[in-house]
Amino acid sequence: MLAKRIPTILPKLNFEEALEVTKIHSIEGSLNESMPLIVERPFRSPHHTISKSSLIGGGKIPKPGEVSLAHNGVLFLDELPEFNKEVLEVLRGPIEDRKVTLSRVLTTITYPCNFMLVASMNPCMCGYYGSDKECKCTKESIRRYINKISGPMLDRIDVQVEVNSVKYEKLNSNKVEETSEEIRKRVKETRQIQQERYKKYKIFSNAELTPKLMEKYCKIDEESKKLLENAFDKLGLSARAYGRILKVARTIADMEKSENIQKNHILEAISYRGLDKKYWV
Amino acid sequence: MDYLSNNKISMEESNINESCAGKHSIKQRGTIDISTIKQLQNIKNKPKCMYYMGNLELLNKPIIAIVGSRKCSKYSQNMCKMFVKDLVEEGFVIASGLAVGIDGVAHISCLENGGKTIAVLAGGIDEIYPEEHKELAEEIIKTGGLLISEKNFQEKTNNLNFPQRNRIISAISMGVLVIEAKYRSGSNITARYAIEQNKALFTIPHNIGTSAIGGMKKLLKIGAKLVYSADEIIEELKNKNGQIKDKVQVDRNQIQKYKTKKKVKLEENLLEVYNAIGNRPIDINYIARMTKKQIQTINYSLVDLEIRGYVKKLPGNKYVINDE
Repeated sequence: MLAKRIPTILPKLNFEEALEVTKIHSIEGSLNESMPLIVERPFRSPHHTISKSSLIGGGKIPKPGEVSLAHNGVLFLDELPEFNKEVLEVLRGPIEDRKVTLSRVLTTITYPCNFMLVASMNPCMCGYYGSDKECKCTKESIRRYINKISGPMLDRIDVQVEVNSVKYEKLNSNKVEETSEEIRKRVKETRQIQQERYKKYKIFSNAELTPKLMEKYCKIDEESKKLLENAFDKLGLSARAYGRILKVARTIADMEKSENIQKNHILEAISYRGLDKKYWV
Repeated sequence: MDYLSNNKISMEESNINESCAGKHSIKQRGTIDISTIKQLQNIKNKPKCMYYMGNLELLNKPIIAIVGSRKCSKYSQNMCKMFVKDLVEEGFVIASGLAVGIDGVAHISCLENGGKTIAVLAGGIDEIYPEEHKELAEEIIKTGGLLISEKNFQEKTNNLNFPQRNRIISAISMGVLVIEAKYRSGSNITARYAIEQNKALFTIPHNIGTSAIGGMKKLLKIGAKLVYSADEIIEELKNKNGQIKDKVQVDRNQIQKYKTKKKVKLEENLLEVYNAIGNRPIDINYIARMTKKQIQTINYSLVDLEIRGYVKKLPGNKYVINDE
């Protein structure tokens, strides 16, 4: 339910993006007369029995797969550990490159796949590990369950949040929460800051920063550097996580309209790395 | 087992302990002459041959076995630590099975409190099982402890060996303390052997509603004594066996060495959050109520504390003091 709401807080598609999305869906053949131009960000949630080629695309003359159909939108993988391990591993390249090249004898086609990966999973087989109810799983089975998602894959997920079960009273409460529209406004503002900043480099967001640009825009002070260093030792983070943490910290700083990355932004970014092994089992 | 990997102690450092290992050198290994071990004489299915590594003299000391579930609750772990600490201070040697869970906790906290410990293995001494306790086995040897097994050094273990090994654990000990045992479990087998061999059997209270309660009830049925402190155990053993002799001195150097707890020197704002956290896992909302701070600031503090190694995050967004 949470994941399905994500498109509602993303900024609306602009005309070029809408055309691109429409093109891909047109190749796949899912356009119909009532919807000639796709204006909503796509939200794709394939079932976990999906095959490799239907995920990244394939066929004699390759058709776009789910990753491309989720271009400029969200690819949601529910119950991530239930997916075939090999299927998940093919995602690694497309996540990094934002495009996927499919080579067949007849032709070679490159489809764009600039999607946001959203995934959900239980903490263990029985689902109660870490909750108030007693977990019936053995340590070994919890480890096996979590290991279904490879380290490199986890590494590429920037924001990992544990969600505790919701109490019944909360489900039923009349408290007015922030609406998607309000959140979307904040997202839009943050994105504008980034677009403004990277105008001359022809990129739009922090996610696309190259190492060189990161040096320029993700400067941190000595204290924060020390903090990151410590975090790597203590929490067992990987080297790949380093750049990603900095980018997330940059985004948090942008959301708070802070020019430089502060220590607190780094701390928050690190706190989103919950599943990076060590503490779990 | 993070504890041991974070605090690797080199061979040279451990030389201080050679004196404690008595006339046996710390690397000593070989076969045990069964006829010299009086505890093993009158047991059913007497072992034919046994192998050892370390300080064999420990078998002549007062030994208490502590065994329990591989998968144990935080409560059981804490209780295990408490009992081990008191028993070690009273001069007892702690024996267990080097398994994960309670066994491991018993061995480790025995070392931390300057005691000597005996691990009774199901497989050969060179084939330590489980893998993650290899380092622990080394530490046991370095601190003048003892590893014993019925299997030859290189022999691998199989499932049948575990129940068999349990009869040795109870045989060498004056009493057996079972902490958290499921209704059907290896610990219950050890308990049965203890009764069969006329040893004192102890268990601690567990929470109703957890799976440990079934095992506890079973233990009480076969004659275990419910204890809530190490004193009660010692009292009972005195009643049964008379004065306890040949006590083991606590090794203060060893305690120092394992003591990793840093003096808490924190900034004001972090200290407040730190003080709100105890040994019981609590969640962030609870901390917020205690400290009357914003969730966001607490979050920052918690990550900071976690990175510096003061607190530990547990699954379910809960936090405890990092006492490793």
